[in-house]
Amino acid sequence: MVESSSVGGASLPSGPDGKKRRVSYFYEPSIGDYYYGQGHPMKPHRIRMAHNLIVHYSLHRRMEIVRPFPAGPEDIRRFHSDDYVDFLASVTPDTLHDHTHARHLKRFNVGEDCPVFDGIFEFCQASAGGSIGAAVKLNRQDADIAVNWAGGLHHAKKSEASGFCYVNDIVLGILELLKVHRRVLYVDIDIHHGDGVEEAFFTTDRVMTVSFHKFGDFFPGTGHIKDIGANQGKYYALNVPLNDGMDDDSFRGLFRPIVHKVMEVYQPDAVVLQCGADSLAGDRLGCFNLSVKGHADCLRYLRSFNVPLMVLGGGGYTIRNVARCWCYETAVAVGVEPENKLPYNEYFEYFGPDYTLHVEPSPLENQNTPKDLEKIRNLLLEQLSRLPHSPSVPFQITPPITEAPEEAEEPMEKRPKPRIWSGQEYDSDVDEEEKPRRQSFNANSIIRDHARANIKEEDMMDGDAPS
Amino acid sequence: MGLKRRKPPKTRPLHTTKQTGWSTTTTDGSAFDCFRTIDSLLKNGFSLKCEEIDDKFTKLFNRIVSRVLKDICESSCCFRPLPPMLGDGKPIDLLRLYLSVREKGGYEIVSKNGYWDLVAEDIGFHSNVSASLKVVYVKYLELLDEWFAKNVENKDNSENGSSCFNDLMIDSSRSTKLFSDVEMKDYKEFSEGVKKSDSSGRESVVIESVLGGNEEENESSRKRKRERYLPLLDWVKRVSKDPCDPAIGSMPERSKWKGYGSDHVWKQVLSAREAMLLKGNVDSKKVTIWQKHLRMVPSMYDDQREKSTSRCSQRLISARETQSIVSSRKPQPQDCSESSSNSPSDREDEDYFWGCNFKRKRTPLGRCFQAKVPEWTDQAYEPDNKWLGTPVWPLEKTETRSSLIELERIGKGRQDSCGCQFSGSLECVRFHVSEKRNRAKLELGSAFARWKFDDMGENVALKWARFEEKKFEDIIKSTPASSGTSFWDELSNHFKNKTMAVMVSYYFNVYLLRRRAHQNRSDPNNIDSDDDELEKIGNEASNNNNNGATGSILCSPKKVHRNSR
Repeated sequence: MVESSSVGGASLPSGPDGKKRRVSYFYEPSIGDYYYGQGHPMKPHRIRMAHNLIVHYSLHRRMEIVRPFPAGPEDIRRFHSDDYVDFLASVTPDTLHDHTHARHLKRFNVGEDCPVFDGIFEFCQASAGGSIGAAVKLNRQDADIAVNWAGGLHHAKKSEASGFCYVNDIVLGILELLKVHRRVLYVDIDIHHGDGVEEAFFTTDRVMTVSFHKFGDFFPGTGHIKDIGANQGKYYALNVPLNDGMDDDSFRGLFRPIVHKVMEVYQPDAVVLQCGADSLAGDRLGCFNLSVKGHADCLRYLRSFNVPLMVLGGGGYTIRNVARCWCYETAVAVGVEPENKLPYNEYFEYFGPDYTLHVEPSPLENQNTPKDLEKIRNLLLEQLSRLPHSPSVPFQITPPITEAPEEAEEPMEKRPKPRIWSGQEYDSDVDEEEKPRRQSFNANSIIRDHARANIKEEDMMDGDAPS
Repeated sequence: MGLKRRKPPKTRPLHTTKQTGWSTTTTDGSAFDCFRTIDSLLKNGFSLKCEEIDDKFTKLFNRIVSRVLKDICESSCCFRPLPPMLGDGKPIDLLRLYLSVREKGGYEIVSKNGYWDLVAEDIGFHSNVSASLKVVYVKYLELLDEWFAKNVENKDNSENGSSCFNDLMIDSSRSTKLFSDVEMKDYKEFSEGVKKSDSSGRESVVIESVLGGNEEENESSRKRKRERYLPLLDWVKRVSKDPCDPAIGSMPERSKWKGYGSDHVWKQVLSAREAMLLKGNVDSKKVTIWQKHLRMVPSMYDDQREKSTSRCSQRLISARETQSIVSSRKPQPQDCSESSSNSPSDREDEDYFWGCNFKRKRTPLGRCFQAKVPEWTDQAYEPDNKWLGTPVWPLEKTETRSSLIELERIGKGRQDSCGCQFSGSLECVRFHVSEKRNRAKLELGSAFARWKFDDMGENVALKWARFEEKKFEDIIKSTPASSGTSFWDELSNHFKNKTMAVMVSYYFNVYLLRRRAHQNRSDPNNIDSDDDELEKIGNEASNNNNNGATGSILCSPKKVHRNSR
């Protein structure tokens, strides 16, 4: 599209990246049975559908899969207020109208969007336990990528439920990451603004939040382009407000240059990606027009920086597409390109009448003109260039003590645990020596590398068909 | 006062370019009505920037402080004079102190970082009185901070709240709401705007040039207009002077607001506020550009109403909120010429572009909202190993599996064709699913059960008798959305021996799956895996969607106001 080509070197594709990542994946087997209630668009069943697809594509063989330990009230209090956690832990649909609870419903914004359902707290515990567990895996360097599709509930506030989210597993996960990592980058591609996470870290420079979302007459109403953080955290919140009909090319034309710049100036030690699937075409609540591949491109790009990466779920209300998307993104995480014809699976009929992994985006007018997008991009890039290079934890270049990643496939448990260095992309040219080289972020090398990567990627696109 | 002619703090030079489209609306007068309330509020907005209003705000602020203090002091028997004074008798402007501290991140941050000197300078004192200021802040304003926090929390349930400030809140809620929701924000935004234009200096020149041309011809019409809003403005002024003045009259509960006509002054004010915060975009196909900050409107309205056009005004005209609030007459939608390229200044145009018109929800600051982020330390990391969870895959080495299992290639999809007689039929699919399932079972070993594959897909139906399945289906079909009752109620009434969890599992794993199988074969262009039949929430949302969509992720309007903290 014009958009991406017009900016030339600024739109930087990540290279094909053949190197394997050690992937940890958190799955709570009972997650699919939680039910928000009739007519409620949030359906945890979608996580079970995604898991089912993942297994039938045999992707589990490339991962370590664990059942998360449920986060306890104490753990959840690390972010949430005491009385809110007490309320969540004790409320049930039957005691909902008891005097003590009824008083709290409005205060904690529980009731309409965020109903009290059976097992509400166990659901939150599983979601939060998965994200905290994912953080611990990354902290211990047990994994390069940790996935929790039950996480990503980015609207929950310190003492308030919001937008189907009760406990903010992301904030809890990031707090855990901060025990080891100096700076954590949070990227949010849910169609809704990641307000809960942004608010939680609005005044700190140890977490930078970047949210791409529909803005204007849309929930939750925050995420103005000029909201940039406050106090110590000023300039460490980035908001990319978008309009209806965002398509793959437009999204990529914003995502890549902005994230590239963020990685360059902020140099995070770890990245958290919220993969809300309501930005997909045909979502029941969303109004973007992304394909599964376009959505997953964000993960592909972030993965290429080879920084410890936590991948979380989020919104997504056309459940068949959510399952498609998260299955494909799991495949991207483990470095596999799955075939388009879905394998037979227990939920096969949900994916009819095409029974394919990818679906054609609907013909929908993109209300984001190239001009709008360019303005947004330029403004944000300019804002990023003003980012002071002096966060509370000083930048320092730690020499990479990475061993050469193994080329030959080995059983997961035997594979050595290379320490991964953050802040730099591996040279993704697989032809060359595998040894990761330090790559300075000067424009020339980036353009050169990405030009090269571009070619590679085209090769890979051609080779999308299963080998 | 608001009636004096004021220069707008900021304006865009856009008006200097010839634009069309506006005149058509204004000639029939409907647009005029649309703007009536906005204009009036903007006039009020105008007044916010002038010095007298600074004063007015100070008074209102002091009033609130004194109310809060009164409550406190009554219980703790202490006395705090107003306004507070320094040792040398200089009075301290509490509002400015409050705003200054807030701007710097709140009491805690200011204290922690030793910003009190800056605060002192900020509000016009020498930095050597910073300690006194801190004391004054603690004695007077910290309470207010708490009170504000409570106020926000209890905004919607003041009737059952138990806070000691409750009665205060109730009797002054009318005004404090205005105060905290709108005026404070506007005031702050406003002062930012003033600062900006001061610093650039350029804009005032622009304003001059914009206004210069038609000053005279519009002067009289402006006056006329202003007179129409005198009662409204008076009311606002009275409220800000004394929120508890009985002469103001009382306002009904928010839930009943809709029932009142715009002949009530307070309703007009609310409408104006609503219109100002308006962010609707009904005619989004036609108006694809974001509209400029509403605060920009007065200049273009006052000075060039007949001549100029703007996307901003287009939006206002076409937005449904305005229609419903202000006038029953339908404004004429019209094409809005893309004018950003005509704009003489890109920088100005950007303001336009960034959708400043949308109600900009601010992120609240304070320890009630932000996570506590510790300083980074290089300590050894010793996490609780419980977080590593229960490993399910890869399987324990002790678990032996037949080495003869033929593993599918990773990422493999399904075969192009199968040998089934009716390829693609229900039976064919069932057969292959079950075949694939058995393969997975062999490979997964214990993981198959631990991931609850037994509870996935049509397999779940094995635990149900045929007649139960039939009944399940019948009940759902006989409880249509229109009946207003949930089919789950019916189901749990009928299946006393089954838990809700069992029924939900059947619903997703069997019922929906079968319905989808049917749809795929009978009506493939109209599929829906997410249709719960009773789309209760969704319907409600679309029915009362006039209040904007930012309050609920489902566009349920009910929490819009509440979330405006």
